[in-house]
Amino acid sequence: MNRMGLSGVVLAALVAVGAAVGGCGSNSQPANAGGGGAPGGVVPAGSQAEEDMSPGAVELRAFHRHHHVGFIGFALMSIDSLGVTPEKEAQVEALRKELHEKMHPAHEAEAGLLVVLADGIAAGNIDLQKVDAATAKIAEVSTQMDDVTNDTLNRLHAILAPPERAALADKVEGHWMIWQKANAEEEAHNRQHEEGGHIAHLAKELALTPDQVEKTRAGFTSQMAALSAARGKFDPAAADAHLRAFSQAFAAEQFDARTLQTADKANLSLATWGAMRMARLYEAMNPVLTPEQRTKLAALLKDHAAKLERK
Amino acid sequence: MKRSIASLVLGVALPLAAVATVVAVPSTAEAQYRYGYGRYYAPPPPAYYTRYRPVYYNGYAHYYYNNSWYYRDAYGNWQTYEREPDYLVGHRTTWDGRVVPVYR
Repeated sequence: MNRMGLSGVVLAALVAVGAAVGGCGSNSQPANAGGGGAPGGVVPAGSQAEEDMSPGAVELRAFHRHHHVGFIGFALMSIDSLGVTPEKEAQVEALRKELHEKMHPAHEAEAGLLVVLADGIAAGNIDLQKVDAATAKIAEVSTQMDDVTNDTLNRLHAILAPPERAALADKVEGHWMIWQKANAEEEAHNRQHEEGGHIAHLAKELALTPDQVEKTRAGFTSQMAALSAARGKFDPAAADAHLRAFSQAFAAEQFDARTLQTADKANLSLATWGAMRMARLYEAMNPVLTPEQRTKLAALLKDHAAKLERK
Repeated sequence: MKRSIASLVLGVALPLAAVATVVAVPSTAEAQYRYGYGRYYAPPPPAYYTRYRPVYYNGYAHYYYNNSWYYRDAYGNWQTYEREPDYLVGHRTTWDGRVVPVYR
């Protein structure tokens, strides 16, 4: 065994032991479940099971690869699955619709980028200046969504019971985790051809050949490396800070979304990175497509854009 | 000498690390399972619990996943049960109807 190999083994062993010990230290006491069921295994915050590959989960990840509205978008998506009591359903649904309508500018900006990409794909040449302009618009709008939706979020908080508020905060965190995994995992950029990945998803839609998949993977990996070199890797700090602030505030008895000072920075970070990443994937894929595949992909993107504009 | 150090590492440290990893409580987002009450538990992943309407019981939102009920306690830890609470038994059969479309 050479020196490098030996060092690697030692390092791996130390890292493994350290990780295990570190995990032990993070345990906390479980709450008493009571109510006739004995509490079972406790799994710390943030612990997750293996990736869900059900069609619904795959669809959700695909959604997050194309939508970069930020945390208010995560909250909007979470309302549907809150499961509030029947007497509150009508009120909560009315607020969901209100939130949805207030987010129309964000949906419109997203549609704008999809149309630019669709036009470029149809023509066989994506206009990068138009992509940049559309991305800038998404970024600009992302910082406005917080202000226009604060009042709705406050009224939603007032209607919800404490467990429902906690559930909403959990779901917002869940969407953030999915978004991050779908868009910002550095080591995942060159694995998008694997099951559940962005390229794999499009490979099915467009019947890409293995050679097209490989060229897209290589091109996208290269594009993301260039993006990271130019702008730095995606930094989740602003989003993590906002998630913590939002979760704590929303779980409290009194809540005022206007007091959260972390939203704009977090939303800007997500919107900008998500839009740039999405554009780069299509830029990498475009040169390897056949004319028929271009037509189909452009139609798919335009159809999606039209749905967004109708929202 | 190198061979003996390597043997020591491979023979002692790695198995120790493996054992420690299995018995430890995982602490990262990628952690997988927790052993308890004679079986392994895995909490629902985000792509699951973001799509289901929970059952509210005992002050917590509960999700039925892989034949067990899970909830996040006040510390943010996922919890499960050794024995299914009576209240939740009836909700198990209607659980599949609680999934919602990805977006509308």
